[in-house]
Amino acid sequence: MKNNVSILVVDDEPIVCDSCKKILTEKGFTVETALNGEEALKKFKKGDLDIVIVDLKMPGIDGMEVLQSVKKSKPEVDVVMITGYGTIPSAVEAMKLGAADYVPKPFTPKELGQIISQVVEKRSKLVAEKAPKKGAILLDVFKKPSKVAYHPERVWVKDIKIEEALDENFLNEVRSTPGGERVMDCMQCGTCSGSCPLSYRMDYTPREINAMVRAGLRDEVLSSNSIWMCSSCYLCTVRCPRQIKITDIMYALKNLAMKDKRFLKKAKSPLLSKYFVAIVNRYGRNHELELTLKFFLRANPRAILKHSLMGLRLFLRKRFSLFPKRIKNINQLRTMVRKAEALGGLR
Amino acid sequence: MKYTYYPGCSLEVSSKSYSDSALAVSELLGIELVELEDWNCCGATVYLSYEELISFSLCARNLALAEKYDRDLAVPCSSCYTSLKKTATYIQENAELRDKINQALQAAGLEYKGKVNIKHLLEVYVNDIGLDVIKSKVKRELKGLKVAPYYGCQIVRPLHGFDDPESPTSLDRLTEALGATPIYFPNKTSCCGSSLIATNEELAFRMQKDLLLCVSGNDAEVIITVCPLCHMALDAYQKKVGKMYGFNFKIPVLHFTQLMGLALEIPSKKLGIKTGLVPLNKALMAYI
Ligand code: SF4
Ligand code: SF4
Repeated sequence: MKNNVSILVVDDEPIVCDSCKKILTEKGFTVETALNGEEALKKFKKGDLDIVIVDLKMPGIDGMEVLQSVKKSKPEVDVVMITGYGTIPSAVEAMKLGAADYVPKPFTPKELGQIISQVVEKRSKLVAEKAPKKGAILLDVFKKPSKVAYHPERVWVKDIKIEEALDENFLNEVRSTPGGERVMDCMQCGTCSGSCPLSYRMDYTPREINAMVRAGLRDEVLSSNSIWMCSSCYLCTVRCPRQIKITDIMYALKNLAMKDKRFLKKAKSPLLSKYFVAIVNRYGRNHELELTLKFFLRANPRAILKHSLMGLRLFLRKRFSLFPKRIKNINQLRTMVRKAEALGGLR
Repeated sequence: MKYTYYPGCSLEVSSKSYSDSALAVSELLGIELVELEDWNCCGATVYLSYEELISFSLCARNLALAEKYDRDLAVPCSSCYTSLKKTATYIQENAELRDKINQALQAAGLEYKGKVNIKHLLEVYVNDIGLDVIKSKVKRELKGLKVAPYYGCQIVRPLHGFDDPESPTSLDRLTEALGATPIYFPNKTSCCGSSLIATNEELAFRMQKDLLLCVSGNDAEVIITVCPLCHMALDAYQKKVGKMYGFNFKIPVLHFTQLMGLALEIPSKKLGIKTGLVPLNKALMAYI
């Protein structure tokens, strides 16, 4: 299947050029090759390229220089670096200079294919986002590349958000939550992110989440993993110099995300919450066994086997019960829950 | 002294030994814990993630029931403690929330005027009873026992005010009053990750590993907890955490009331000392 993305592969080893060409041509790309920096820049000036894949280490004009001149004359062209052993720090440097991604040598056809598809996908998204909408560019959003685990240090890629896509009401939704009132006071000091035991795995750190809430980036915030990673430890809250209750903001965001299936695709926490809520509404108390079984059957059946020995040991110590305990006045509780539901929640 | 007692769901079954030991210790200290009639689940972090208004209302029902008695509410679980306390605080601070919760309570024939004083059981022992009294009741000093007093996050945060949110001392001082020695434990208020165990095991295990490493590195012979969820995280999962990171952790974990019970010479069976999954070690067996 032919697509209209054209790629230039630059490497001083002919075998690398040839194999890349083979892999990518099979995927439908139009591929040219060059064996050194000089030749690459010539071809680049002549042709109408979308992506340049270039080896970092080459005699003469090296990958870094190719990257720089490409980005200088045509910033819309994406550059992917090929790196060898020991050149990871330079790869990071390259990312900072605007490289779209990098692929470490040796790589399999699948790995190369994946990285290039990601780059292509991102390009088409950007084009789609830019094309139909008119309006001022309001904000630069800094995003981590999707495969952050590959990167030895934080690397940021710049993305652009158009005014129409911002949600002005989002801020008010968060501000109307107990604890969320002061989000506008945030001075972006980052104390929260530095304190958070889980920020290292979040799509956006708590500080970034605050900024994004204020900017109205509703979809990005609500679909990020950050809100589900928050373990509710309140360390950010007690340390924030502006007394912003970040933990409560995270709860507000969880609540908002819960109302829209679009945001819940990957996270498992919403599922756990739903089962828990159903159990508490039914009995008035939690029933640990039922919750555990229901949740793992849906989320991860293999885990039931994995945990069964532990379950047995707990059972032998009478530490879980087969039967739920229902409170006496369950009707009173249910009436109250229904009324709260009818009030439409907090927002 | 009489308190209304809110055990919470975990203490009913999986951490029953916490409740048993708390009741036994309290009795010896002259505290009567009267279980709140027909209490319901506090909602914990899980319900709160789903819908805050209903979750706060669940807590408010408990507070409304507790308000019928002119007594403070004693809570042994840090998660319940935070949920209840947070609800009470926000009902005072936020007029809109107060109004909505009142409507929900009214529909169920309940009312909450905002008068219940909520205390964690540790707070009751250390501040209301006092360490001098506890010391005077100790029958068997736990001389030389090296204890890791683990607070976890939800007892001292968020801004409850009964101890420092990052460097609390009440449990350390209580440990000393029992004759034991608290170890150097800089991450004693780090989160145990228990709210992530089901949904993101790997992240939770990493947090537990950090805690266990500090505890074992400082030669603790036992960890004591003030929350059933922390206890479950550190005790039931200890072996798995060790396996994942290549450590052979074997540090028994007790509810702090169990350790108190040992010093007060309450029979270990009554304290449920052997219900943990990590077997007891020599240091502890000496007191049983
Ligand atoms: S600590 Fe507070 S002021 Fe600083 S970035 Fe975080 S929320 Fe903003
Ligand atoms: S409460 Fe959540 S966001 Fe705040 S420090 Fe803890 S895990 Fe991070």
